[in-house]
Amino acid sequence: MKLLFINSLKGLINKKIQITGLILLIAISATMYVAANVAINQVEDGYYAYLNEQNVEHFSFLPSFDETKLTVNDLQLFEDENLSEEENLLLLQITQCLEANTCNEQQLFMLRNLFSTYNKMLYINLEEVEKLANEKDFYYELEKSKIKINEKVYYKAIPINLDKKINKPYLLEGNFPVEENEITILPSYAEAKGLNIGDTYELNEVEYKIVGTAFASDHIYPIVSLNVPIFNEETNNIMFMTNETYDKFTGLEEKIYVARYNEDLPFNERDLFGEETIFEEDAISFTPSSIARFIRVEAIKGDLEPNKTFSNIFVNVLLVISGVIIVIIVKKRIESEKTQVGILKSMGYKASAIASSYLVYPIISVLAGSLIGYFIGMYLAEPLTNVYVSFYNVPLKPFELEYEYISRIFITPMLVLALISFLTAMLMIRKKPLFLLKEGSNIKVNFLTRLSNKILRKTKFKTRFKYSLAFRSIGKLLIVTIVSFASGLLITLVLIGNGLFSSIIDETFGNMKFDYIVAYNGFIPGENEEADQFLIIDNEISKKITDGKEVELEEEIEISLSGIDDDLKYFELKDDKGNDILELIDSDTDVLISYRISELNEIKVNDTIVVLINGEEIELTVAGIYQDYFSSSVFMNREYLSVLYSFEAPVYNQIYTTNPKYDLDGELEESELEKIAGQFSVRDLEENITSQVEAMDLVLYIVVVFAAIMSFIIMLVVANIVVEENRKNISLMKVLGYKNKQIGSIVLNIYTPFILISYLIAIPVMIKIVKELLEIFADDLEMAIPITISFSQVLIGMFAILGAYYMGMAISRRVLNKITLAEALKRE
Amino acid sequence: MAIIYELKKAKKSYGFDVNALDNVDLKIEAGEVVVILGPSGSGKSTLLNILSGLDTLTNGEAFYRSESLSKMSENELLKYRYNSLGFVFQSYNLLPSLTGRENIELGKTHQNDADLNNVIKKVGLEEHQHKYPYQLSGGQMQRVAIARSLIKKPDAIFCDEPTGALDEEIGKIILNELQKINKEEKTTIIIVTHNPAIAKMGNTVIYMNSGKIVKTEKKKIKYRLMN
Repeated sequence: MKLLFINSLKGLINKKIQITGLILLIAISATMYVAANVAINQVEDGYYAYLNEQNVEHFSFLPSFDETKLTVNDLQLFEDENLSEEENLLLLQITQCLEANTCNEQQLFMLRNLFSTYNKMLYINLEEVEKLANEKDFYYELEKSKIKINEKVYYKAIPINLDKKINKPYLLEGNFPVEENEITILPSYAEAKGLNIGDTYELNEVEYKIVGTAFASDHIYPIVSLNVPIFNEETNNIMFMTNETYDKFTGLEEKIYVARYNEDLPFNERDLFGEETIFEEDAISFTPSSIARFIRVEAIKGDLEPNKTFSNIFVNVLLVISGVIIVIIVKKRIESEKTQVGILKSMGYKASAIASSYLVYPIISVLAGSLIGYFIGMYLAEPLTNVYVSFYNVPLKPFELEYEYISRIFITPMLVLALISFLTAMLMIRKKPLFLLKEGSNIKVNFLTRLSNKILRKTKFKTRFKYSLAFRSIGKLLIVTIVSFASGLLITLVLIGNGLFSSIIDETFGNMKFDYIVAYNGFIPGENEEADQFLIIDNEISKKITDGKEVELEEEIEISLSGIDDDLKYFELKDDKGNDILELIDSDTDVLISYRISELNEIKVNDTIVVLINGEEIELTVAGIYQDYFSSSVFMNREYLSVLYSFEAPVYNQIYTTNPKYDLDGELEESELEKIAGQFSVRDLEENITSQVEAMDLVLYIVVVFAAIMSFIIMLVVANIVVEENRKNISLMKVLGYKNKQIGSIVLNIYTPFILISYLIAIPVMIKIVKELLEIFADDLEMAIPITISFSQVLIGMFAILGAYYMGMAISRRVLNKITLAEALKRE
Repeated sequence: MAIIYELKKAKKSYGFDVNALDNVDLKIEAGEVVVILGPSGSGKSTLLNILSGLDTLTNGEAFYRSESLSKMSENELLKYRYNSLGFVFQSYNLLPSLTGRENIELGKTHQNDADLNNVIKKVGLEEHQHKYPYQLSGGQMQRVAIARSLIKKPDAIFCDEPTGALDEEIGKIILNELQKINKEEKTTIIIVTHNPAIAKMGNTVIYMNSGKIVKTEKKKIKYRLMN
């Protein structure tokens, strides 16, 4: 047995390129597995510990608010408020209509807006909430914060309360504030701005003293609010301060109830709007703020899982490729040792004992590959963790080496590859000793070679020769095809993945003519000459009618119905060819849908979509698809949409403008400011999204680099196999006087057409895989990503795959050239 | 007769202490049948490899028709082998995925069918030409190898133990085949063997031992069948 192992070990030296390729593939797969899993687990562990230790909210809500059930008594909540003249008038009208029970839909709608604007929804229906809390076993408390935007920095002030049951603040360094004007700031903000404990900090003409850095435990995900959807450490700061300091802090106040179950959260982000969630309960309702809060606490789970799945799928694919290579090595080795195996069998050695000696290949390659991969993976895990942490505000435990991965990355590949090697060897040496010892037992010609010779009988000798060699072994042809296919998949991934996200950003923001988007609390009648006006109301598509057939949707499609005018100055809607398609809204029921809605739900032009407005099914015709990968907006005529929602005249609740007064630190009149629910600076948004997308591109770039390296290694191995396989043919042809060029064109190019075909098949397959994968990501990112490949990219890929193949061939031939011709032709 | 091959103080060493050829001087006339005889390790295969341009000398010189083989470039050596030489090996060295006819075509591509048919007829393979090597007997495979050499109308055919894998009867037929070619085509035949029985078919018999030529016998022989 020992001698058999030594013999196999010596065989490794003859397969240097293949074994090195195999070791590298295992090393890369181990690197990816270790780096991704260690980094993700580090973040996950920190995250779950944080959720539990800080009692992070499970959800937030306002008591359920039904304007139709309001009484005149409820209006007393506004007594202390400084209402505008218009609002006082509305309140008076509503008091009268409530008393007479004659309020119409629009009046109640306006009343709802008023309750929302003045945060009065908090104090309605509290007994029902208490009953629900007992029934569903959760506890809750009121939480308040103030928002202030100053010089484009978004400040959130939170009063410090160490007795809080939910969302306990997490102190990283220093102390919590005890004196007036003392504050803690976000660690990421402190780092980005170079602020230290003890520094002073001026805001609102008040000088604050930084006494510590602390995380707000409900701000895990990089989303501050729906107004500031993307986290940027330089422009977002969360400050804890004493109650007195908080009271004096000027800013827009938000109050909301936060709640936490006594047990684990019984639903996740994907079920957010499902029937099983707490949000379906009558006693409470959730606000846009609730959604943002839920996302920033829970969405991290949805982000990490696909990353982990992706890295694990990738690793398994590599394991399959490694399996194929090891089959080739073992097969080739046994073929060349056929006589020896026959002798051993005739001497009475068991087939299993002989087969076991070939386990030396998986053992050596897994030991070497996994060890290299483990150390590189652990080395990369820390920077990768930091990439994640730059997205999530989670305090982590100190980084340490995790030895449990050693066993995982060794055992699985070892078992799989050892089993494959053993089975291959058993299959090859199962024949009787006499057969194995017989001369020429491996020179039989298969059906395909005979068939190809018959078909090509009339063609040139060179062609016949080529294909007879290619079909000589169907197994090898299949292996070369599969492995080239895998390499083709990786190259396609490289081509479509490189800079994908950044290009989408450029495409999306590049042509925007407006600088600010302003959202209002309520509906504004009249015209705003300096802006494009939009009436945006959330709705959902319940059905679609395609080619005259009604299709009930499995799940309603959430959309924003967006009323627009036909004379837009700043906002543009373009199709994929860059043509303006606003004019396609030709009638009241014509709508334009986004590429995202179209792509994710298979809705095309001329389909009809059905939405429910005021209890009535409204059929809208898709007149065009505009190029937007993020949006869920359905654009239609604003006047008609106002009518559908029972407004007497056209109204709007959002504007797109270039007027700098709408900048986050612009100067707006108090009366207008009060009506504004949110202001977006498009350029800031672009900057913020770009910074996040750059990080996504970085992750993708890492995948791309790995894919490129792997496809190169795979093609080197394929080339080496081809040269090795034809070693004898090449030598014989050289003896007969054929030139290298002639040998190259006949023998070494035999698999070129198969490699090219495999590559071309791999392109649509990879596009499909990436589309499926990105659909999962797109759900999280709220975007549909177009995956295309241009002809020039296909050519580049083709040159890359052939380049790697020929380079591999050149390397392999150099080794071959060292063998003397006379030696090569000796009897085997 | 013109000299086709000449060796002057030819030396081939492997490492420091193994001399496969040790100061060998040799002249071979064109149109001869030369049998190189000797035990294993005597240097006879090395001699064949040097003359056929498959290997190079450590010292000394080798000439083909007065041209120095040592000075030929890799490409010139390829051209020399492609145009002027035929090879017959003990293990046939046929390509298993090509039929007998195609293996013959491999000797020199772009042959016309008439020449190809002619050669096939000459070696008696008409009935077996479309069979694959695994469907042929040892003797038939060796005939394919001979035809592969003949197709290029070579100056010389190098045979390395051509009957080593064949039984006695078939071996004789093959040797007769080679003798016939020598007579009809005036092709120089150089046979390397350890079988003394083959020596009688040679005009020149070179005995080798330990890398040296220990004896050279020259004789005039009439063409006759081996028996």
